[in-house]
Amino acid sequence: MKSLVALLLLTAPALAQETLTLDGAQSSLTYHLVHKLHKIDGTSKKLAGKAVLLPDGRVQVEVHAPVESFDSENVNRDEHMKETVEAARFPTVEMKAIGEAKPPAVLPGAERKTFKAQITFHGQKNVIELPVQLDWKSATEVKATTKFKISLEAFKIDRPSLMFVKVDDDLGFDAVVVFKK
Amino acid sequence: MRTIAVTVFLVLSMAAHAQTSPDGGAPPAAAPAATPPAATPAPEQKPADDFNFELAPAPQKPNLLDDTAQRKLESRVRLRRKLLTAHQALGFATLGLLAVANILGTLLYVDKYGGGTDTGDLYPYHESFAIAATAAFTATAITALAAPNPYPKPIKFDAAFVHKASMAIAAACFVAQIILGPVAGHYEGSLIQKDLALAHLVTGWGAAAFMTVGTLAYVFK
Repeated sequence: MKSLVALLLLTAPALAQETLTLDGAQSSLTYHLVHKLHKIDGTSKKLAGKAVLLPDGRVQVEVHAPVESFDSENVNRDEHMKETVEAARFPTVEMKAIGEAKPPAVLPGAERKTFKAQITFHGQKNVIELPVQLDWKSATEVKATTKFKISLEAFKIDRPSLMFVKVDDDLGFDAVVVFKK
Repeated sequence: MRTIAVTVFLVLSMAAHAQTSPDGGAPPAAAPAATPPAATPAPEQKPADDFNFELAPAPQKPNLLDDTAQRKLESRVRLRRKLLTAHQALGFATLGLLAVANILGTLLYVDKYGGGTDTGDLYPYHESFAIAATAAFTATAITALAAPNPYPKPIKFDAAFVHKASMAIAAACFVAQIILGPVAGHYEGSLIQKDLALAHLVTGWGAAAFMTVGTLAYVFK
């Protein structure tokens, strides 16, 4: 019976899981679009989301942002973007990611991981591989940094044009998200 | 001893369960309706169900457009895109016509006041191109002003503002040169005519310069 108690004591903490909430003040998502004449960046700082550190060492992440919150420092371009992605019909861009991550033994610490992510954008869902840099400040605070690209046409987005030249199909993203308890 | 073991297990399980609550508060079942939905980490899932979890559902707009409003909005979007595509084409046409009108006007000025023969042969061409440029500029402005705004736009200092401000100044230059051209012609033979012609010339190039700035505002930012 003593061994049963010891087993329970040892395994119970492992059953615990942490839910971390995205810190909107420290998080941002920036898109990069390339046009023959110039490059365009638009940033959203209105991110929301959560991450759950599961007892088995996996992590589930969900982040979303209103598409109307992206600012490219040109209101006409932002308006054009909303038209292009049909912001009234599909008001948010969402990412769900899963992977293996847990706080390192020594804190603070950093690690690189590859997550599997599902992006929902313009009413379409696509799964991508997501390289992520994780900077753990503590067991309950982590900054995740990632860069990735998606294809506009894969999301059934009619590429917009300026001066009769369409933008490139690749849409790059830089994301910095901080999760804390 | 069994009682102790069961008690320990229950206490530890409750502690572990309490940590799953997103805000560290009560477990999801006991959370009030107003709080964000609790995280629902998936247990063991097949790959196809990897993303079948809801941690932080996106706040849907409470008044997402109904079908009629959506169709109306899409109609306004299509009209806006057509008008702004025409706006770009007309804008480039205006720049071309204005450049030719300005070059011809400059040649006329030099011919008249710079020691040339002052034949005035280019005058009809200058006038034709100037009228065409003015008409094209007016049409360009109309297509921009008539374009609906299906998505509200804030007013702030950005590339779009620079574009609009530059075009507004270009429009003022157009008005000035439309007035100064005939006035300069009216003062034929007078000493003041040279100054009026110069002012006409400057406003013509000013219109071209501000149109160029307004166009490049979209290229560089």
